[in-house]
Amino acid sequence: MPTPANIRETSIAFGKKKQSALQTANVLADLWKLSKVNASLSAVEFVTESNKDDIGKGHEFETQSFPSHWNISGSIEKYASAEFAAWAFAYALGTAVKTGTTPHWIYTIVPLEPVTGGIELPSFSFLEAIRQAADPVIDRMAVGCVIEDLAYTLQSGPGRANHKIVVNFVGCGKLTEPSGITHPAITAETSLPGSSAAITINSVDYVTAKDFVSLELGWKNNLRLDSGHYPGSGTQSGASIMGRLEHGDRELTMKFVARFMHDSAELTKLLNQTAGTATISTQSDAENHLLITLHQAVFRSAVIGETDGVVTVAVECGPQYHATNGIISVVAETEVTDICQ
Amino acid sequence: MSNTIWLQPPDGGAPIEVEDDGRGVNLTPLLVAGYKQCEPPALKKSKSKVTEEVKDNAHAS
Repeated sequence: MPTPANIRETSIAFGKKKQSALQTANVLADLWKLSKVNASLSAVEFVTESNKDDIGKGHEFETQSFPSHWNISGSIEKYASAEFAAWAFAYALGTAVKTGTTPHWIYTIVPLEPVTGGIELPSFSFLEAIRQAADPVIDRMAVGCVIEDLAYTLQSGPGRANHKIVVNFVGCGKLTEPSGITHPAITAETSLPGSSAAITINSVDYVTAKDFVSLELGWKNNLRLDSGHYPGSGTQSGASIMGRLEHGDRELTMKFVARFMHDSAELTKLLNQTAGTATISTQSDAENHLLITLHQAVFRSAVIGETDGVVTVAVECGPQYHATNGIISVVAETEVTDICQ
Repeated sequence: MSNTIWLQPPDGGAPIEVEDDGRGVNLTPLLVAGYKQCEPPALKKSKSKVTEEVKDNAHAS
């Protein structure tokens, strides 16, 4: 007799290597299985359309429905590890090159350059299963998933939750159920503690000054979802699926909170619109690290307040496109090869 | 540890070998300018050599 499933039985596996094409699924060898901390399952929606507004029926009520399209989306929320950080930034930004040899792989990651790289982001398959081996409750694979947005946070306090990465992804609509792929063994990850961070923003080393409180960095691709459905984009069960997943106007945001003291320079830099670089690096050891660089940023606002009873300043940064180095670059070193390759 | 990478210029010109300093200082400007990762020119040559040898052996047997 079937028994209720615990959400903790959920297993996810997804493309470590990118798919060769949007509607071509990853094969087992290209997948990896990682844990996550959010309980939510991916949303798979078969959208139908009513004929209630059609004229000629003699009334305003539905007499027939039609398959329209598939909507697939999901999120992966994880405490930062070198492996997942490399994966998340590579798929979110779009361009990742790999150097090094076993076991030191270095990924240099920048946003897609539209002239030579196009506007289609790298895609991956996302597998989700509960009790896959026998009597599966869920066993499905969303093919052609692309990252819509990424949120990176560093906070004060003990524990892994203070260094976190959340990605939200969208699928092209292609779904294979059952997946036909047995999830691989879980990949061991190397945690990047928030307490290892080195943070310099606009010439101020906030860690040495012991001033830093928290930071939030966001990247959003603003995917062109509707235009993914075009004549010939493909169908599944009579409903349209997307044939392309392209980024729209991309957005980079960053804000941080630091303690505000007599000689704090945030307000002066805001008034003078002083531009500088921002670097945020975290590491586990020499072989596992993450370095995020905003090559040119000004302060958009700086508001004095308090955090836990201590006077702080909340700064919203305005990332700018640097003529040589672009808007953002990320370097991630990990012992895992072929991430987004 | 090999920390060099071959990149092809956006105009399709001859690939260049670039050393990665592990902080993206050398690679970032080139990637932003549209350079793309490519195979080392020498590696392409050696691959075709191996193919030739296999063919020779097949004829001999």
